[in-house]
Amino acid sequence: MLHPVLAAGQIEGGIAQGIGYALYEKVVWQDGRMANNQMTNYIMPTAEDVPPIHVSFEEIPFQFGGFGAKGLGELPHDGPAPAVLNAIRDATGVAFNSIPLLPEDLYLGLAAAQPAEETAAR
Amino acid sequence: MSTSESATPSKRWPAIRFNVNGEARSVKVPPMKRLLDVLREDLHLTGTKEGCGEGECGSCSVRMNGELLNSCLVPVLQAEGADIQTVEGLALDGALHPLQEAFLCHGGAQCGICTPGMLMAAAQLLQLNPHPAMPEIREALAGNLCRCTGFMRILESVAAAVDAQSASPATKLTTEQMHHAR
Repeated sequence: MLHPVLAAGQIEGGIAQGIGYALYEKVVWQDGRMANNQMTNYIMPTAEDVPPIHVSFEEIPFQFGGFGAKGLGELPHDGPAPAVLNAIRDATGVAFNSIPLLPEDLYLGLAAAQPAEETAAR
Repeated sequence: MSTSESATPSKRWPAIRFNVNGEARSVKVPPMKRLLDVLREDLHLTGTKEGCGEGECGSCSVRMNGELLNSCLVPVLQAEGADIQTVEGLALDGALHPLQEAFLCHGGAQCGICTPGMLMAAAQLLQLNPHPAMPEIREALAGNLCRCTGFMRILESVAAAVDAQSASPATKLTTEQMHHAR
């Protein structure tokens, strides 16, 4: 790693963005424009929303990169959304397959699943 | 300097006087001009950044009369007679503020747009609460959005500045007061 502090910072930042991608950041399109292009209605995670993140590196030199280096800023976006949705399925038994999963989406999904669960219980 | 106001001669506007980082300044600008723009364009203090321009992101945070505020929401008229501190006022004679040192060591800045606002919000926190716990640090910085660090390094930086202050010889002064005691 060329700069361990900044490398970990890039990973943490990407994970925070991934959490926003999973739970908050809904782009509403209207007539070809983004209708919620303000920080008041396009919500992103704040210092109070991001959980502690622990980063560890496995260093495997990349044969096509200078000195074996490889960029790492974009990779951490991929994991958090599936992880969050899987955690929700684990907790509720209901599988969601679209993001962002806003509280109202969660409510609708759980409400739709409710009758089936009750039937199964009987 | 600024040519954008050439159509409206600066003589037209009454002088607005205030202190910035301990220095008396006077500007002749439209009174509804945002404090943010006056700081950046007229006083050339470009450390203060514009993020959203609508008071949501905290990037333009400055301290005015001991309060933290978004300079994009303040017409310069309201700054008449005020004491303003910007991020340029944190370092003293080339010596970085302990918070700035901590941000440097712990990777608290990545792209840097949120950093001046984060520093001002953290300085305000340390002024009011010299020994904040992590939940208090999180709460104090919740009004400042950061897109690239994921906040962890920023929170760690502020905590490190708090620790450095606790480790220093016993004194009743806060980090802020020590740094700014002349």
